[in-house]
Amino acid sequence: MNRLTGKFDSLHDLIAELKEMPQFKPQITHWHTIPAREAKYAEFPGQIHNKLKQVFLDRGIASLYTHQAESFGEIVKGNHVVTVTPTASGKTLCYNLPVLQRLLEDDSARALYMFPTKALAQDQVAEVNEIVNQLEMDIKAYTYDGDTAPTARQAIRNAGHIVVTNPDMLHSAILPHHTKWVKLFENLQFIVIDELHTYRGVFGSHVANVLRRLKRICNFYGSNPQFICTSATIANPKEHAERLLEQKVSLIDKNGAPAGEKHVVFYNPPVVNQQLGIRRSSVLESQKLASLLLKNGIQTIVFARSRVRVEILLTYLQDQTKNEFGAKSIRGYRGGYLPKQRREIERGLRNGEIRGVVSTNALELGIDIGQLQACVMNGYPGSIASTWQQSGRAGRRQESSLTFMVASSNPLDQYIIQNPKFFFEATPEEARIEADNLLILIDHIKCAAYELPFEKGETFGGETLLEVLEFLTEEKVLHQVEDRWYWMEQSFPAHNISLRSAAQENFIIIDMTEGSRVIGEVDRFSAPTLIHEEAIYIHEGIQFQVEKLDFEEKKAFVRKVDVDYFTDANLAVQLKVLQVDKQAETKTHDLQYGEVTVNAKATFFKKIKYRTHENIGSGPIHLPEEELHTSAYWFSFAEDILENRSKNDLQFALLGLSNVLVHIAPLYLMCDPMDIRVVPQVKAIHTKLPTIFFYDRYPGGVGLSERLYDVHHELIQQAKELIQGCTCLSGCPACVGPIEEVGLAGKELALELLSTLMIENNTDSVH
Amino acid sequence: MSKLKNRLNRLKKTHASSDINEKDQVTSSQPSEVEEWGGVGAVTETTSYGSFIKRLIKIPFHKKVGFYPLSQLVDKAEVLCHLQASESNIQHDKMLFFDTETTGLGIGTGNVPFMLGIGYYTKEEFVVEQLFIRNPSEELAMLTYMNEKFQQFTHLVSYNGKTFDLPLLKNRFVLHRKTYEGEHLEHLDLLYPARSLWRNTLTTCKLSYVEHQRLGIHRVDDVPGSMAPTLYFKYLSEKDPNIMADVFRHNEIDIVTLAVLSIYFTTLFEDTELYKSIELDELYRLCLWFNKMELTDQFQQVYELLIKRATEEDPNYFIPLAMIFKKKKEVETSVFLWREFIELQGHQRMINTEPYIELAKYYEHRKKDFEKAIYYTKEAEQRVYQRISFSRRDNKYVETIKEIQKRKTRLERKWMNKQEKREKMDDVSHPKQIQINI
Repeated sequence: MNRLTGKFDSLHDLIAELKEMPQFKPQITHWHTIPAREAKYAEFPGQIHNKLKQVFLDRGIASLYTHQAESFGEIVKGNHVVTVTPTASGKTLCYNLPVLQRLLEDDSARALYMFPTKALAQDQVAEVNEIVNQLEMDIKAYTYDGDTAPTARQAIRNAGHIVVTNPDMLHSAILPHHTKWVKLFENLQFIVIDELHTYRGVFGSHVANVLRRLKRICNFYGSNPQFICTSATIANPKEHAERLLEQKVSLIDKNGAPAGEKHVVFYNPPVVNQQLGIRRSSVLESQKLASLLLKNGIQTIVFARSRVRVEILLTYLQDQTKNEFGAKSIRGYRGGYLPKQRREIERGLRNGEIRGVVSTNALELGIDIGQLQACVMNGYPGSIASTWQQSGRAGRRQESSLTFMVASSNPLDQYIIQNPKFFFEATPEEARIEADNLLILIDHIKCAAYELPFEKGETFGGETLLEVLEFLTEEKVLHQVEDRWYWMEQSFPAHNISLRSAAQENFIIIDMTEGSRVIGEVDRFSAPTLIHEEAIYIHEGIQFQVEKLDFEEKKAFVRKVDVDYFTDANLAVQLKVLQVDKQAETKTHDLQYGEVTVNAKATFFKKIKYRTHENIGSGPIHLPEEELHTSAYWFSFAEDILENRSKNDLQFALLGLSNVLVHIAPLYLMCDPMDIRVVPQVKAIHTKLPTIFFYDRYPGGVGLSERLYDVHHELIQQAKELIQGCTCLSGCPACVGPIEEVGLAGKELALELLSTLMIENNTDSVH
Repeated sequence: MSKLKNRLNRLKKTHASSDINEKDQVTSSQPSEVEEWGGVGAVTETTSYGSFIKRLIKIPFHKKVGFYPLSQLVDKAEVLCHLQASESNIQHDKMLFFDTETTGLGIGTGNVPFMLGIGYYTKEEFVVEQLFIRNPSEELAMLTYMNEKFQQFTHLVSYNGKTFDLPLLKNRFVLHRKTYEGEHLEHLDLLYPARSLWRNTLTTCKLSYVEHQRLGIHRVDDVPGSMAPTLYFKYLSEKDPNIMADVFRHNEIDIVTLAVLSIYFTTLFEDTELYKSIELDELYRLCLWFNKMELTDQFQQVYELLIKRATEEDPNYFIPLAMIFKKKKEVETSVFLWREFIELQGHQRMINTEPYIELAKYYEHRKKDFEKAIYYTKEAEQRVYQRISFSRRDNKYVETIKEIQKRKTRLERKWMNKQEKREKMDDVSHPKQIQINI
């Protein structure tokens, strides 16, 4: 450290001294160092067009990384490819290189790129166009999404060599109108799917079916495109790709890109109240660490788990560093910002003008912001894969990088931070899909029939197509003439089928301070808690008060204010059983399947003072409640279960058991843990008994809980085995949950509760 | 029954609502083995690609449909070329009138035109041909037949066919991997001229409404086009040709109406008597047509009549007319119109101030007569104030007033300069500034 300025000369110096700094040392619970990795280079393959090679030579790139060359080789061989490499390993070249090579060889060739979000798509087009400009060739790359001007659409359909879009657009606009895309489909040689890991769970199952439809259309026009995919690190990239594409795929996972030394530091905020075990706020600690980094000139990214936290951290950081930088140097980044603003921030980060950014997981995906030096995570991101992706934002090739994981007081965070082995030795999560989920499959068979009549002998999904076609014929959706099934309905099926669970509609936020100006947007589900009247909506660190929320028109009118508090709304969630469709009884417990509604209503908000975080006032929120009508399965325990248990123990036991079931259920369903919810209730309104509910997090349900109902006994058997097999002493996030959440005896209590069900099962199976 | 079948049937029970009985009834009635198409006046057309149903109706020339005999288009179609973007030679017997009936909305690939209606003039009569597919497998034969028909014509005439019927038809060709052989046809979509003519006078420009309001055609017991899909689905399950009878009739009238509407449009070019009976706004729209089409004679005729009628009925039409002449660089006519307008409407309390401003501009820039320009500016200012006293405080008027006052100040400065130059008078009293305080 420079004694005069109090500043470190480099990140390297800071890392070296940090361990001994008294204000930080006690909080550092674990320090993990990943050694630097040398680059592994490979020659440009011989067949690469000279012009293309020259572009890279001009950019100072004299050779490829091994994984880039390897994927090029596989593609030339005609194989489908999935490349798994961390952030900033030059993965875009894995597909841009073979695609551009082919376009140089054959001007009529076409490629379709699919990205999970519009922002990523725009990024990609910019990148491709940069190369194309240098090539001085007439290769056209366009985005085609909801924002594309109607006037531009026709040109894109006919002339776009590379069309960049998203699965939703493919589903509802491109495939149902494929006759307008004859040029593309006749000549489609490559389908590029980036961020493959995001297509999992119910969303992934939908996308798998969209891809089935896409292949069907390609086949109709006589093309047989090759898939080139990239994925972040997940446990099962090859398997996942093969399930999604229903093709054999070559896996390329030997990363040839170099990386500097990486330091991952687990940081637990100090205990401020010994008796109550209360720790200092993770927000304030994250801010402390981030401002240390920023003040020392280290370009830093801060990840926070909610939008509100992003804005609060941003406000604090801008304030803390105002002597060093202007407000423009530290920025926020999250879903609600307008695209133009986001592009500007991304650019600023790449060229170094922006020194710090506070983001939600929006920056976890592959948006190009260049490489930063340090990363501060405010709270554990919830999965191992996400954690590595966020941490991957920091790390320049030749330099050391530093990542802080600042734990919140949430039990999962506390467990991770106290058991670093759990994190560093575990494999990342698996991505799962079930493309043959009957409800999803039927939806897409309808869409596919709309696009092209089905013919006898065709396959779509499992072995079941014929039966589904007959079913739809009986339902008068299809009309059969000999060996063909034609769509014969007035509707446009894709319109009624959404690939994603969350509603796509947004509320816009209008600043009325001077005239009226749209400053951002908020999705429907967040609106009641973020932009209710009197809420302080913070945008890029500037406070606005919501004056009026026009719920019908989806507009919030805000005005600039300067207050020393922020608002935090309370959301009350209620689960109501509407109808029981199936039930079964055993001696100790009943299980039922049926329809439920889950209501979420914003009830009141608190005003919380900055920095001290004390509650200085509150007010009611009068907004309609959000309702999810879905299917659910639940089982309840007999009343006498309370006889030899305290209510408290029962609560821990139920909670522990739910936590276990959350892990197991997605395995049965091949869905994402986010697709299904488990809710334990000590006394459910419907049964008046201790009950565990499982519900589909999709409007109308997608058959997940029904499947669980069918495998109920297996499910609890599995739960028991999992708890028994877990090597932890008294509970961990891999089984019943950390002891902070389920108590010291949580594991034992859950097991005991389960065993009451098991005895019953054995006798049950005799009948 | 397989496990899947079971699950599917369960789905059916939960999904199907009260119409389940109706559906059962439908399936119980067996489709008749031999379909009788004679009842609807149709026959089976068989081609090398398979067969479909064709209904042919011949209407004699002298038959009057609504106000006009069909023969009225004979040798009169040329003027219709003015309704197109690119002018081409139109002959009545080279026009193919075209309308489809479909299974749904939108132009997605799953929307099937199950009936293609066409109409055309022969030497002796007007012919309507309706092609109908008994199921989607007959479509290819029908499309091939259409391709042959296209070769005999130079123009396609439709109503909203540019955005609906034709793209939909082209979809079908792509789906059958056949070439659409109608690329040589010029497309005259009558919806566009209809909209431009009747935008203010008819509440909707739906064909059935237009024909009723303007062509004297009154349909009796017509099934609305929106019912066509439902009837077709019913036909598909019951196979009774009589179900389609009403749809055939509906489509037939649509085709004939297209011809009558074409006749109506031709009369607009020459029938001066008609100008007296149409609504004032239509006359004005017609005036715009002829101006845009650069048909000077017709323009002059309509213009003169319009002035006469507007003077009596609604002088507000003078304002847009004046702007037309201004754009045509015939400012003196504009000046006349603005003055006439003020003459006629000046006493009104709520009045459009545009003519005052335009006259002020005219006197300032063209005549350099600042006194007159100031006069009209002040008049305009006064009118806007009157208006403000009527309406609530409105930013729009504040802006207008600001602009007017800017103009006034400039004019007064110019006027003063001129006065000084000319006579070097030493004392010119400043016209009082009116404070804006609203």
